[in-house]
Amino acid sequence: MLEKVKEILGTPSDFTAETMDNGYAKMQICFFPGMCDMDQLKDAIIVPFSYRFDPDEFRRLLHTSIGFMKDVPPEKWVDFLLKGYVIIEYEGEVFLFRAIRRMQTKPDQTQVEASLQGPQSAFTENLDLNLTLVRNLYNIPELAVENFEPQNQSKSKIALLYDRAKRNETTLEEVRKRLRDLDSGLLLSAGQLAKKISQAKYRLFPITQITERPDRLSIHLNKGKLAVLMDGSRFAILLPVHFFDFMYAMDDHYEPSWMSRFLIGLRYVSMMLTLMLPALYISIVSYNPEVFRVQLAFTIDGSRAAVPYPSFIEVLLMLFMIEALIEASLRLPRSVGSTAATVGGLILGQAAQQAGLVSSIMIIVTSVVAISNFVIPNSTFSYFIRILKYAFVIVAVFAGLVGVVVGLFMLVVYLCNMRSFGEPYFALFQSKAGKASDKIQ
Amino acid sequence: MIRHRTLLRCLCLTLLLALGGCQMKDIDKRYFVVSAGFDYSDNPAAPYRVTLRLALPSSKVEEGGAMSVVQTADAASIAEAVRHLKSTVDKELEFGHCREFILGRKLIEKDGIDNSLQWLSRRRDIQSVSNVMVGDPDAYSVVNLKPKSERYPGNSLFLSFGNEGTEAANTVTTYLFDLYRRVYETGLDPVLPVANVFRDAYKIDRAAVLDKDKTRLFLDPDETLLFNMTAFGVDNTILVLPDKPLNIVLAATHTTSKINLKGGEDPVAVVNVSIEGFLEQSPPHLLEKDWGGLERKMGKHFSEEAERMLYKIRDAGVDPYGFGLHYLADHHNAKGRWEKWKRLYPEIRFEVRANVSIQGSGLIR
Repeated sequence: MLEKVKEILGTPSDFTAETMDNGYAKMQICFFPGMCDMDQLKDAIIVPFSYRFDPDEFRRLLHTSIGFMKDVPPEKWVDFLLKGYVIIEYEGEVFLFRAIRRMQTKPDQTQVEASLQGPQSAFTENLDLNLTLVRNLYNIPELAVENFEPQNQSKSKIALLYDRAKRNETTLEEVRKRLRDLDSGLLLSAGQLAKKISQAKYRLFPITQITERPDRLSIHLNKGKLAVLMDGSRFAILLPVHFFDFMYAMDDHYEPSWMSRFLIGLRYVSMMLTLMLPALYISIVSYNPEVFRVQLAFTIDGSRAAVPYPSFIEVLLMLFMIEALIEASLRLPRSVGSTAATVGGLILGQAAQQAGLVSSIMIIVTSVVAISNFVIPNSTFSYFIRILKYAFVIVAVFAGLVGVVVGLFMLVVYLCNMRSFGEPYFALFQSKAGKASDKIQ
Repeated sequence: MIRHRTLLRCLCLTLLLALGGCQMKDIDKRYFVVSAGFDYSDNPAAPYRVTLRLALPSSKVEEGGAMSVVQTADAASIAEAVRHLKSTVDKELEFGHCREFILGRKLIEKDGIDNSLQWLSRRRDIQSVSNVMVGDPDAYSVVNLKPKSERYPGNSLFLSFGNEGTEAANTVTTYLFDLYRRVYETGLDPVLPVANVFRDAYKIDRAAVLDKDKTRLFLDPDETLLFNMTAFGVDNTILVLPDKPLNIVLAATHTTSKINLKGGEDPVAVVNVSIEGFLEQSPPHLLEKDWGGLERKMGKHFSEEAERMLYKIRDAGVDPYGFGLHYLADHHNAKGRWEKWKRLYPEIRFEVRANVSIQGSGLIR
């Protein structure tokens, strides 16, 4: 057995392969110490084999314990080894023992989708623990879990979750097919998996939602939809989703009704602002100044008098600055992060206006755009909105206010045309389970 | 391949920079006209004198800090005069914020309003909600005035109309769209406020009633007030009952008016006006003595005054109330109906039914 394994693996230095002899019997054992839980290994194999050795009992242990697998074809041995299994050969028989080291033993804290009063636990990078979290919240026998093991280089386990009583068969079948057909290459995170199963690359809006919250996943399952969990990623993929799902924070379910309604309204207003404001600024300043009230028109006129460039260069300049600032503070370590904010906020904002590079209104426009963007509760969605505003800026440069209005109309048409795994993306009223159209996109 | 495409895209994006040289007229490349006046110049070759007040914007707004310049040009038409004015300024003229158009009194008397109205309603950047008024004695004096209290140019005149700033009871507000409608509607005649300069301020307390083209009648301030109440139901007016030693004054907070036409061959125009308000000035303990009687007395006085004003308007041959429109709407609109109304109108009788209700004598302290 050891020769076969070494043939494939070579002799990596983090690999242990030995023959043990307790004086009565011999046993071959091989494993990756770094990937195995040594306590489990000691309790289950080393102790019974060494100082409490009893040949009958040890044989019985190997054959009856559920921790040991027998009759695994030799070509699969290495795959199991690489996942943290231990292989032993005793009396000519080969057993595989599951002693995978668990990195995580308790749920993570929410980091991306913080909630004030909701549950604070988030998914971890361990699939088994994640399934436990879901089962705890969605504790009914109909919850089904299907495992997939894609034949790529990472071989991370993927679990497909759904409610057997409520799921939509066409969508489920399509998702199964896509999970089976995953191509080779490294699959490192849930985001990457989401990208692969949504297929079309140049969509303007996400058709899957990525979440770290078990409670969001449970609500989603309860609507008869599907969720995909992946080993090694602390995010779950929800599908199919609707446009309006992205504007929900989980707190909306836990806070007083009036407040959550107000907040949802606020989010939509913010989304429109962050999407349209730069474009509106350009089109109003350059094409239709009569839209302003006269006071504002004169103020902007006065503050723009020193600005040397046309309005759209001003806008692109400030948008570039704010995007650079956001990107920089995202990647910076926490300790340096505040420096970026100071430099950006104080120096760029105030000084750019005093230097006559941008008008004072533009500073306000820029900050509103940046802040409103952060109000959107889902980060994937806010990325899409962030990039979409440039489309509106370009339209506004060439066609002014009319262009912006036509662009908005086209965006609505596009949204109405979109499908997320067969369900209308822009549907105000969500369809009941099993009633989605057959066409899958 | 992909790199080529990216390069091409970047190249296209750099073309954006060249747009700065295109027709993009940013807000700071435009000269905002805040009020425009049209006069008659007495020169037959160039009869139209156009006066524009141009705002010099500043980023700070303060009392009396409004800066503006006034430019004048004479030409054979308004359009030509404006083109001509363009060559005297350094930025593009923008009428988007011009909300005041002043027609000189003499211009209307000599030329009528039609030519001016045509120009106003055809230009795309002139808003239909602009105020139109008659400048007395000419438009230039009204446009040229720079009131000291103005915070930004042109604002003072604009605030005089509608409910935007002051709610003066004897200022008639006529918007451009309304003027246009009144000029082209059968049985409804235009009415314009008359503005003149009075000690570093505008005085807009009279109204000019026009036939479809020229002025026929000027209403004095008191008549304008009555007209405002009966025709438009303007709120926040006053109602005065002459009395000794002091007039009794009712501050009317709410006024509604409704017009009814009665009678076929001998029509009577019934104007129902209901006025609510409280006494702003009266002798003590007047209400306790005879509340209802005072209401009736005030109503009767109002009716008499209003009827006198209505007959005056009728005798001038104009119809700013739209009695003719009412008649056409009420009656079967056969041919000759309008001709018949034109025969009937000079003989029409008016009946103003005023329903005054006094809410009280003001606050009790």
